[in-house]
Amino acid sequence: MLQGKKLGTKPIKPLLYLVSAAIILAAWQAVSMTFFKDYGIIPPPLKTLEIIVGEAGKPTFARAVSDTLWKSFFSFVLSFIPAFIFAALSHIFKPLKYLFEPFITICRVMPTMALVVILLLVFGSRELPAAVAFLVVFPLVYENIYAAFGNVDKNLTVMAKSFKVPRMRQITGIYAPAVLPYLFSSVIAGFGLNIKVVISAEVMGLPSFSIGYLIRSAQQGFDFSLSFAWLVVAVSLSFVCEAVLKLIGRFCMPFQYPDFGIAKGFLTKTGKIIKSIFAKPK
Amino acid sequence: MIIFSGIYKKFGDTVVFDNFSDGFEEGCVNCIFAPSGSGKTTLLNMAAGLLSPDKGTVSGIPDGVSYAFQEDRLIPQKTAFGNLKFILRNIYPDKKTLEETVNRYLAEAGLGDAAELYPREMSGGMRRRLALIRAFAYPSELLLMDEPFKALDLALRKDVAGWFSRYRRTVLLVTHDPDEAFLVGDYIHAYSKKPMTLLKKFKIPGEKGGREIYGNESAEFRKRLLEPAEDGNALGSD
Repeated sequence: MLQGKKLGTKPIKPLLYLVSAAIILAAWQAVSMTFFKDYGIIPPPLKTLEIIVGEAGKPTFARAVSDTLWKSFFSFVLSFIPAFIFAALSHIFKPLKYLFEPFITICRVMPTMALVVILLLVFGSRELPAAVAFLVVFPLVYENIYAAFGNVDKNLTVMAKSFKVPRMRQITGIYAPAVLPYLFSSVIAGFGLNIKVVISAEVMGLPSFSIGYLIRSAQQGFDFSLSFAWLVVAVSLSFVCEAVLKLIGRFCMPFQYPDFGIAKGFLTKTGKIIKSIFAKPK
Repeated sequence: MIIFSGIYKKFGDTVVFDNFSDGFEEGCVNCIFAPSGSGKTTLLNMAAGLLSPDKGTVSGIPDGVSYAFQEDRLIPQKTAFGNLKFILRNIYPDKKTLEETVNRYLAEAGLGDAAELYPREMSGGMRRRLALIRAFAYPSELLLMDEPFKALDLALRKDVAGWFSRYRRTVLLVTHDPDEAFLVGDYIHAYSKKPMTLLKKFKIPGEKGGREIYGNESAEFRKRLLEPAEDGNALGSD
């Protein structure tokens, strides 16, 4: 908030987003009209929208989107929980950090596509995306959360100790708010990456009724416009997920987003009104 | 009386205390005056139980100790209200009493309107007052203060000085400013650079609360404090 004020960018932030979106759309239109015009690989924005609207009416659309989304969510939770636990343990017991380090490095540097090919031999096409996502997202989340624990101000824990603040309250009052911003940024970055990896693995593994499967089948049927439209659906899905996660983050971290207090206050009041309507009469 | 007896403490190769002994009066503001880097904060940390001496004993420390650190040490993710609530929640389990107590102390510090501000939204002086009132608000018999008047102007210093009379308790106050000691102190203990040794200890003249920093009494106090000790060891406030 303060930085926004300092740089003077805050009032024009939505405008900048609009300008950026307009540039992307213009570039997209230009590319579709020049380089790939004859092949129809990249349809123009309006045509793409038309294809998406047409696809959205089919029963496969909702099923493919929900299947990919569910797989992404499931595999993310599967990576996030152990990454959090391992990061916390590594912070508490330093030797564990060195024990995990080679494993984390291997996961990080492993070429994803090569991994998909190998894992395809072990896992079925349905489980493959989750397995690949785990190996890609786990190190990212682990390293972010480990760094977050290291950033907890030791002076504050000494202060709490001197005032005999119970350990549990130290965790909720000092550790949690210090770790939370890192946690959310790793969730946002990790989840976006996760969707990408899951769809890539779907393209290779071809589980039926998934975005990856539909991208590949459209391509195999030489319907490149449809394939591209599904790509746009995947990108839009990541955007929506990121926006939802940011919104949740703003609710959980009022200290990080004081401006959000107005919206939060409005929602809290609305919640109270709804509660009072359903409350039992005394 | 709080007694440090035969204290030996070293960090790496640096000996900070070597057979150090001194006693501090109860119910009084005891000012600890020594050059920078002599070990004043280490002395407070040992009184707070945050550090243990390598040798020697610290006795007479009551159960309730509050500490105003050299830095503000405010939780950046909590408001002024939240920062006070954080340390008082265990003391006042009743929510209403807790909130009333927090608001009362915030008002005392002149921060009544700043209750919902985060530390980054406050001025340096406001943050300092919040850190100090936190130490006074915590029910303790011993109050440890490390350069408490840093970042406060003269008017605010006088306000804060009033808190010492209102919330009377044993205070160990570290300073290297003679004026600060003169304003709030009952006794002054002057030490050498490390290894820290007691050079002089005397009662600060005049009635606390009525002392004027720029008066004759203050000049006399300053002269007595800063002149070389009987053993020729010179003091310095850096």
